[in-house]
Amino acid sequence: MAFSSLRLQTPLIFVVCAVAVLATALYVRQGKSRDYAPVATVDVISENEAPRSTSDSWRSQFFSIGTSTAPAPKASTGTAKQNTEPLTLTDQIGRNFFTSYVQLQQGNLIGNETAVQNAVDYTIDTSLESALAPRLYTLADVRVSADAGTAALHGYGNTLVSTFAAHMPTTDAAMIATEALEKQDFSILASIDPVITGHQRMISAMLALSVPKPLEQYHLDLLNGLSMSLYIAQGLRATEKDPMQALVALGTYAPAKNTINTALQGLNVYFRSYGVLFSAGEPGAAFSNISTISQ
Amino acid sequence: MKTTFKIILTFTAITFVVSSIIASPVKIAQAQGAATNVPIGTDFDFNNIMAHMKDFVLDKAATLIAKQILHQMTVSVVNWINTGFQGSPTFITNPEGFFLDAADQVTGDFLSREGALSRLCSPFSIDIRLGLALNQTQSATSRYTCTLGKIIGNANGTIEGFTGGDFRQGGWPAFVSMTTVPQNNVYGSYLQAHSELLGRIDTRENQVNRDLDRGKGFLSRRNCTDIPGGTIDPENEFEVEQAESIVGNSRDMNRKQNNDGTVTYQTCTTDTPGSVISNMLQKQLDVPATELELADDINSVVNALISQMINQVIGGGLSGLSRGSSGGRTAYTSQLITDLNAQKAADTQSTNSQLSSVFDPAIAALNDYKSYYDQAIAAVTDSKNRYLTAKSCILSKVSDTQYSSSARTYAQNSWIPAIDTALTSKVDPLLADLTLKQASTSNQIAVIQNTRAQIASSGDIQSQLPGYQASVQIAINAKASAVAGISFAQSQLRDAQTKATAFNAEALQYQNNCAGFPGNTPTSGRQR
Repeated sequence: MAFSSLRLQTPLIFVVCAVAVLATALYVRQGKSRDYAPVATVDVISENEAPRSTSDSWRSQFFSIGTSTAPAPKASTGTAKQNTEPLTLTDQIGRNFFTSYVQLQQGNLIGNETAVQNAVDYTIDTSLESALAPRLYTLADVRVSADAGTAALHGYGNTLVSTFAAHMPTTDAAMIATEALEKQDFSILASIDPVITGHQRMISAMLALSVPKPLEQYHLDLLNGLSMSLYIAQGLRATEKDPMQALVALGTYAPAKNTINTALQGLNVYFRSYGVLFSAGEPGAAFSNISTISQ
Repeated sequence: MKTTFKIILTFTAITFVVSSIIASPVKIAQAQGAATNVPIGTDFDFNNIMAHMKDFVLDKAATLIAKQILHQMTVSVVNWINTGFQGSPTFITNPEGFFLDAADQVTGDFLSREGALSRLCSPFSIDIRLGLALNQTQSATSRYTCTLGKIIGNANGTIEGFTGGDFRQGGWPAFVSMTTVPQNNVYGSYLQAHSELLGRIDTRENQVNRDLDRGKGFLSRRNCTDIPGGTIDPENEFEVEQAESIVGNSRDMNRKQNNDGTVTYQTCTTDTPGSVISNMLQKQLDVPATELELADDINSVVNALISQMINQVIGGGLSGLSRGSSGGRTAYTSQLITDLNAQKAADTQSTNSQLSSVFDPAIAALNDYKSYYDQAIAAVTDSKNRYLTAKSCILSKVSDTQYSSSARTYAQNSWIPAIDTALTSKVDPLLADLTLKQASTSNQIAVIQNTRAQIASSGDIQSQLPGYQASVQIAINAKASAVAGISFAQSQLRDAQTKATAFNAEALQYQNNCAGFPGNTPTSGRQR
């Protein structure tokens, strides 16, 4: 009996041990699974948890090595994906400014003139990278005529002046924008709309105009001068919501007007050199006014 | 006629940029009472007009736009903050903690053991610090538990006994000191500390004001809101009197003129970007007492930003924004300027080739024309040399005494004068005429070639074109003259060649005479 009891105990002990081993193995396996489960993202240390450095030297170096290497993120990048309305240039410079400010604050560098200057430079540069630019045409956009005879030159001069006379705005976008800003009445900016329309029509007309071959470069210069003027008007029209773009546009004012002036002078000289004369009743007679301009 | 006049006027406006550029600066100059004399459409100097345009319009526009940038940028940042930093910029993983920390630092520094209040008498130092903290932070004191807990831990019992009633622990000197020295009693210490805190706030405000001054007012912006029921008829004396009695001369009030002629009274506050952004942060994060620090800091960076932008646009001229940054980046408009320069270079090349098409054919035609005279002069000069050779030969014989005197006299009086006559009456006049024409042509060629060389070396042909206009005309005329004169030059060459042939024959005869001397003289045979 005792023997039989022993014989019965053995398989029972084996079964219990096997269950225990399996349970342990299963437990260990589950534990490992828990350990190796992917951690849900947080590999960013918050400000509260991050140990504060006792020295600010690395921060000074970070901001002083030059703005081009500063790894400041573009604040607009992440936001633009979530907003349906695209950010204006002013929005971008605002966010980039605030990003720079917080970085300076975190680095305790508000009082460091070099760091502030670099951050400011960086803010302006990164913001201006996304500024709109005027469209610049090339000679491929100009309709060139092989006929470069006196009659063709004469006809071109008359048509050009007629086009200008028909569409050229008699008001200036910068003047209108200045008035709107002074009075803080941005409804005045609507007066720029005819300026924009006028420039658009002139550009369209000039693109359609057949140009004698020798005058193609002057024509292209005029076209680009007008395109820049259009860009200025459009930029100033948005002064209320996007004044940064308006300021950038205003920066091209002098180049635009110089380009137009130089092109007109060049045309005038060419006409005179090749004996293309306009009688008093013709539109092209306006070229005679240009001769009084001194450079 | 009216239409033509309009066209001319309009085109003139285009040429001088636009008509408003000329007229409007004058108005502005007068309005501002500027001493500068502004041309009123009579000075058609483009550069002059642009200079005045810059002074009276563009600089002003740039300044006003900069202010608008400041305003709009502040609005944009505030909106961004209000949306909880949509887009989660990586610079700030825990904004609440960051700004709370900043607030904590302000209060903690002031109240800390090492701070300004560190030497307060121990028994009531906690009371004063707590009182200040409560007064300054109001309902949010729980946020400073950590800082205040440290201050509580500083308490010791050295003077407690005295203030607790044990007069022996200090005696009369301690009593006098406690009652007469402010910082040694609870009330004096509180007032003193509170005064200092207000002083620090005042110092900060002064610093902000200095920042405002440095920013030339860029940082400040008046924010005015209409007073409900504050719109009055300015013609109604009763309403005006009532409104003015309420408003008085308060600087916080503003009178807005409406389009319908009424006047609306407004209450105004002067905001800076720093204060607006800081207040919004405070509101969003529910962190009090941070604005003094943050507003000041934000303003200082905003000031630097706007100043830099203004410097780039106004300081750098209205080609503005063309200066690269200190980081070596390419500024925005530099690309535009590069494009313009490329266009200018292409334009210069085009103009250069156009001028070449005028000058080069003129030079070629003149050279062609001159070549006939070169040939003619060469032919006649050859004839002259032949005469001179014969004369030289004869003279050598005349001076040789081995020949008879009569033969030498004959040659001297007959052949030599004949040669001289041929030279002076026929050869030299012809040669002079031909040389004159040759020299004139050479001069024309030299003038055109010099102009051509100047143009080739000029980097800015466009601006000098008016100066070259006369040279172009000279070249065109010279070419026309040369082409027209070619046939005449050819006939002159033929004539010169014919005459040269005759001269050569006559010169040969004299050379033969010299060779046959003295046998071919009438007195031959008679020896000395």
